[in-house]
Amino acid sequence: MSVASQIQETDSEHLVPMVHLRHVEFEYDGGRHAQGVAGAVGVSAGFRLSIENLVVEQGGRAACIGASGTGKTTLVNLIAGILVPDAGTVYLGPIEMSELSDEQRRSIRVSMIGMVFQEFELLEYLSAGDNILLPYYIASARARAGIPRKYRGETPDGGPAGLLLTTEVRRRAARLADEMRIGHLLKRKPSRLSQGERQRVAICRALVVEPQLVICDEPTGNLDPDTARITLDMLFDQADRSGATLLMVTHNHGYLERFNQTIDMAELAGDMGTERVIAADREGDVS
Amino acid sequence: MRGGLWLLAWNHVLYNRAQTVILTLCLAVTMCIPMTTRMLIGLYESDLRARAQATPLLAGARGNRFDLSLAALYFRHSELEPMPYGEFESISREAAGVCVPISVRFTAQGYPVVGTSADYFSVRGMQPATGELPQLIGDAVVGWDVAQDLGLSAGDSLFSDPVDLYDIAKPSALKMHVTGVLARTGSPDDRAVFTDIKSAWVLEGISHGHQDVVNEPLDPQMVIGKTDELVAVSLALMEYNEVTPENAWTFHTHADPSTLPLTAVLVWPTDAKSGTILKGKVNQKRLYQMVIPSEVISDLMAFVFRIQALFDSLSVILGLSTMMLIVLVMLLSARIRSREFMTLNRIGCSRFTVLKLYAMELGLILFLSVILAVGAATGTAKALPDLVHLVS
Repeated sequence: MSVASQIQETDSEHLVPMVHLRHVEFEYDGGRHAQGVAGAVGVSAGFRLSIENLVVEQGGRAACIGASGTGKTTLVNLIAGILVPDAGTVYLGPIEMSELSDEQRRSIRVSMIGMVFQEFELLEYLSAGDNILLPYYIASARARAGIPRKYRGETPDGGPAGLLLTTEVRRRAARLADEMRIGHLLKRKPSRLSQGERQRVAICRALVVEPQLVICDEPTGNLDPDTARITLDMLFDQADRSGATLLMVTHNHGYLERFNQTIDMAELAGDMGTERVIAADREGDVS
Repeated sequence: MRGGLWLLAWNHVLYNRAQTVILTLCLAVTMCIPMTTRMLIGLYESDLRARAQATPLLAGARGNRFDLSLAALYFRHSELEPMPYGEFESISREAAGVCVPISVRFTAQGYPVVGTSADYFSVRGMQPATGELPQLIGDAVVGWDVAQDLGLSAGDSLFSDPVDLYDIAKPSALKMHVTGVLARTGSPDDRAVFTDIKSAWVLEGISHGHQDVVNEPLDPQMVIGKTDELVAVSLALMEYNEVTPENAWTFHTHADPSTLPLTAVLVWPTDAKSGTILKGKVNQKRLYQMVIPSEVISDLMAFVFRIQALFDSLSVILGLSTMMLIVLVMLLSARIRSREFMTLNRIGCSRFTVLKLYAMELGLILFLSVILAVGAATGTAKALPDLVHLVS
């Protein structure tokens, strides 16, 4: 069965949404969104993305596929609050991201969202261990307090705990690294790690804050097939353990069977103007 | 977060060692130059002023008062006209206080030979660390640094530097007996050789000792003319170049003692009023001048401060150009690190936090630069010899 044939319109009524986009319009017009931003996220200025309705369920495994330039990265940036839609709403759990200030969205991002990038994006001057703890270094103790009061009680961890680097956090980071089989490499600088090891460090960095949503932008794009498979196994395993929602941009359709939801940007591109992002449920219980 | 950002900044500074070292050195040099200049000038000023303030009045030949002060207080070589010993006697009679003659016209092993009286040591509070003060003509007591540099101690000898090796009419080097080493004072006295004023006149060639040409048989070729009372001898007659118990009695002066040369007269009046009166009297004669050394040094320092102001201006220009280069480096660095900053931004780090991180890195480099600059400036100030000695 082809991916396209598996795509069905999402019925958000039957889901507990972790991510919910409604009537979202976004355009790199060189005005509100500078051309530099467009370039940075891999699309050309003038690119337009319209999303009627997109839901990713809590704890779900969603794959975002599509050719280059179709807006995959734009989509995950909108979800992560890096970009703000021109119209429509973006929900992260109960939190309406599009109504938050830049600082509040950063607070949400650093404390609730783990991000993994194709190029790993590790800081070369930090050891692997410090790279894993990076969110704690850059986030203020007020990070979760930065989340609007009306959402605090509704955040999955139950409140504004703050992103404090405690002994427990260090233990968790070490345990995570052990589970990802890089526990013995924590003192090494990224330049002394293999590609697979680097990506595992990046995954640890994304997971160390115990995020509700893990966004991976082509995380296996720079890995050989074997390493990619092992890395994905570990990523899925960790996401399963933590119960985090996983949203992954990928070019590799071979991995799709491991996801229960596929977001096909190609479908979207072919339907410009009456755009709808369509989600497919592998289990067939979403229709 | 603050601790975390410092950790990031410190790791970045450490990771980019070469860049950090270059930037640190650039900033340190920029800071060190004015800092060192200020420290040295401060040291120079305090040393000069301390010495000048410890000497209330100073008399000498008319002319350059700076030269006079530097020669009499800091034993700097000068071409001042000498002042006759008679003037010293005159000032001594008129002054209510202590008057000390000073003659600084010769050197020994490069160090100034200061001919003076025993009062000099008492008014300056100088005591021998070893040995004793000079008692006889031809004796010398050396300053602490001279003793250290030349390895001298009481009982050793020290030759004065000959004026002209090839002119037999000029006085030859005098072998002086070191009677003691003065305790360290931290002043120009540490780098001088002190003798009695009469020994200074021996160095001048005005006083000398030689064979008894009246009573002892003499080589006829040495006799130019002879009367019942006087004998005129050739200049080739060898003068003693060392004062010993055997020949000490032969040392004599042909000139009128009141005309014998001095460099200056130091005066410690009993009170300000008598000092002012004495100064007025000396200056009225118009042959010589009496100055207040602290005022002269203040005027001298005014020149130095003008030079310092020039240095400060240059330092500001240097600092500005360095800052512009640093800003350029930081801007280029920001461009190189744009990907890193974008990553931090995507993870959730605000632009303000990135700026803070950048500022912290610069702050660390500045901190290291300041430490280095202060260390270098302090080290330079300590390592360099006392500037007062350089001008003396």
